[in-house]
Amino acid sequence: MAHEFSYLVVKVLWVFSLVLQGAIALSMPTKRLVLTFPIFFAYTVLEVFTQTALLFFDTRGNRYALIYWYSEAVAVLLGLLIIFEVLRHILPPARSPRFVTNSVWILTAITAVVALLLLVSAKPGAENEPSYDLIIRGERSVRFLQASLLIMVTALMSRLGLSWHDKSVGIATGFGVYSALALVAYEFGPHLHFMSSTAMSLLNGIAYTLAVIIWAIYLLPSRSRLPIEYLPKFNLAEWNNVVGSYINQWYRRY
Amino acid sequence: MVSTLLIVAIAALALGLGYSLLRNAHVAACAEQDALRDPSEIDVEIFRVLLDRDQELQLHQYLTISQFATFERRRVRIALRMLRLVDDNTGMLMQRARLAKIKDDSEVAVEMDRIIGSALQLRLGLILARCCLYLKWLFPSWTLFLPAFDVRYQHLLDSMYAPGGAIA
Repeated sequence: MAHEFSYLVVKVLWVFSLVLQGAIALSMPTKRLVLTFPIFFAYTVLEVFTQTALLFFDTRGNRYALIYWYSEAVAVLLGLLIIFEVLRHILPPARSPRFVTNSVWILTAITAVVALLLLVSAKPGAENEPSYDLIIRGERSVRFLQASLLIMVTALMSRLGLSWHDKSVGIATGFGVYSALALVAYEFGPHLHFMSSTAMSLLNGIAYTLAVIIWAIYLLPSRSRLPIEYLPKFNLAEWNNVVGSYINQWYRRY
Repeated sequence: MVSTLLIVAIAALALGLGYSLLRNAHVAACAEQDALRDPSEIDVEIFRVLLDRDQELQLHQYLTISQFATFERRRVRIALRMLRLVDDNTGMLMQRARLAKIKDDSEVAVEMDRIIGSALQLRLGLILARCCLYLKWLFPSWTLFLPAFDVRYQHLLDSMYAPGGAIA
């Protein structure tokens, strides 16, 4: 009974997130967001098509498995590319202080190395085919990177002058929340066996629906923003000069 | 086991931050409205005078140690308050520049990028300046300097990329 109920909940969540993602995919071209976030758009379209196709196949059939695993491999790759897409939007332009850009890239590199170690050190699943196992491990590493991206975006938000309304912040938040819950589900499910496969698929379904709701909140409504006709008068160059010379007073040249 | 702990820690942190980000969305929206108000006016000359090394030396000469410490701390407090206002203004400018970038104008976007970069540089400078001022508040008569090993190499690098330099 409980198993059937959870199956029903997962199915409802699946259809609900599919409808929302369809709406996001349709609204992105009208808001000219396709050129701003082309990889995220490709990911959304891929998910809409594959999830719709999977609805009509028997979950135990070969075709289902084939579509599922091939689309999963592409989705993992796109998920990795989305990280760079978000970073390109939130990081300051190239001429900004090298220190900031270098620090962010160094942090990203460290996280990527940790993710790579997770990929290499994970034990292969006994029942899985090697190629499927590689996709699962790749997915875990990308999820780890996406969760880390959310931490970095939240930590740097105010410093970089980002606001809650920024669409790149929304995309990172959606992926971060989904990835964090999916990682927990994997760790407590197939890895530590604290969670049944039914509970795991339920948690995954809830996590993905949450992510889609977050993306919909950011990407669906057309917010009317106040027009910025002029920038306030504030002499940045002079303040940079004064603050820089004060800091230099503290240094003795060697 | 280590990887499990690391994954669970990262996941918990990401979830907590994601939750707080969405929960504080309305506060952030109000802050965004605040960003559209006019910035506070701060006179850069007052700041310059407050932190002038020559004036500090003069004060050190004419006042007793305790009087100097009290006076110097008061100057530092005012300077810190001014830096807080400068930080607010810079944040406001960055937000406005990001909003202005949304317009489909490549020239405006390039100019806004330049302003964002410059504002970020100032914000980093403000962090360092605050640290220096806190040290000054703790030890008003301190005359020690911090070693700047990197400066020589930075100059060398800059000279290489400068027009007529080795690489240019």
